[in-house]
Amino acid sequence: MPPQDNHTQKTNVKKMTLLALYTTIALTIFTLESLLPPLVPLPGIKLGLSNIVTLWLLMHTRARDALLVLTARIFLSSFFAGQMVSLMYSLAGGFFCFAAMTLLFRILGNRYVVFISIFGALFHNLGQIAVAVAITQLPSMLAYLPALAISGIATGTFTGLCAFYLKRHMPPRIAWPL
Amino acid sequence: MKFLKGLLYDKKALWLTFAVLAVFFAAAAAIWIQVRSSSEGKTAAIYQDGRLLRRIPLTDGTNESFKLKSSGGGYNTIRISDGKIGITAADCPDMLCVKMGMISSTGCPISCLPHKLVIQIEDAKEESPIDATTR
Repeated sequence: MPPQDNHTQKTNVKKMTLLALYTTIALTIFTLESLLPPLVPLPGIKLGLSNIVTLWLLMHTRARDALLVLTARIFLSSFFAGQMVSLMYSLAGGFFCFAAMTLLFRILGNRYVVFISIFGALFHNLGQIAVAVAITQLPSMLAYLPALAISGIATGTFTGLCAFYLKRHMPPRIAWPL
Repeated sequence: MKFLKGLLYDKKALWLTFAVLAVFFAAAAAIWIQVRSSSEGKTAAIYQDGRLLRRIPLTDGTNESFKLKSSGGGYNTIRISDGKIGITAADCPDMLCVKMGMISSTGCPISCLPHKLVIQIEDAKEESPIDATTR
């Protein structure tokens, strides 16, 4: 480990604490959301509210930190739920969504967070369907894709608007005090 | 519309809106085609772990209920009655497969993803299970 001066060490600790805090927030949102009964009886349709945290971190800090929080959230939530199969769906969906959103944030910038959230939700569904086809080896799983796309647009708009208004009303020194 | 201020402000945002609308209408059209082209099938095929387990003809007289164990230790109770097939009980966490109800048309398959179980309706014309899985 390279020698670090006191200041960088302090920043690192601060940052780690902050990221842990955001992981807790994401995990709480995820757990509360999973208590809601599913509205439509199709696999993969849900609000995806914990994506607000990912969007939020992508707006304020480096993609690497957001990925860390996302990965921690996915692993912890599936440990608590005790489902190894759902871990694969979450990982595929989460990473597809994350890759698309990171790229779009680079191209478009923070102002377009609602659109980025919509495309993130669509890619999340795409990743999940890909895993479903791989696991069941039945291409007929693609029959769920149109319904998932429509729900992804609706829920993506909602989470995107949440992030948009949060950004507008929350002072940056509270959001990312580094 | 003060709350919309800052959402649709430039050309890029307009194009993105068009892109989202295009995806939306494409999906809606796909669902429409799916519903229109789906027909009342005659055979139910049950797949688990990517393999065809059983083919059951869905004639009106068939009335059957059986329990299917999954490789992970779970179970699904499958019921066939009145020319329809569905899952009536399961020990998966979300119970989506039960909530999907009874199906009899080729449109949307029933799946229990935690147990890697899929039930789909196929036309009686399709003969070999190999054709059905690679379709």
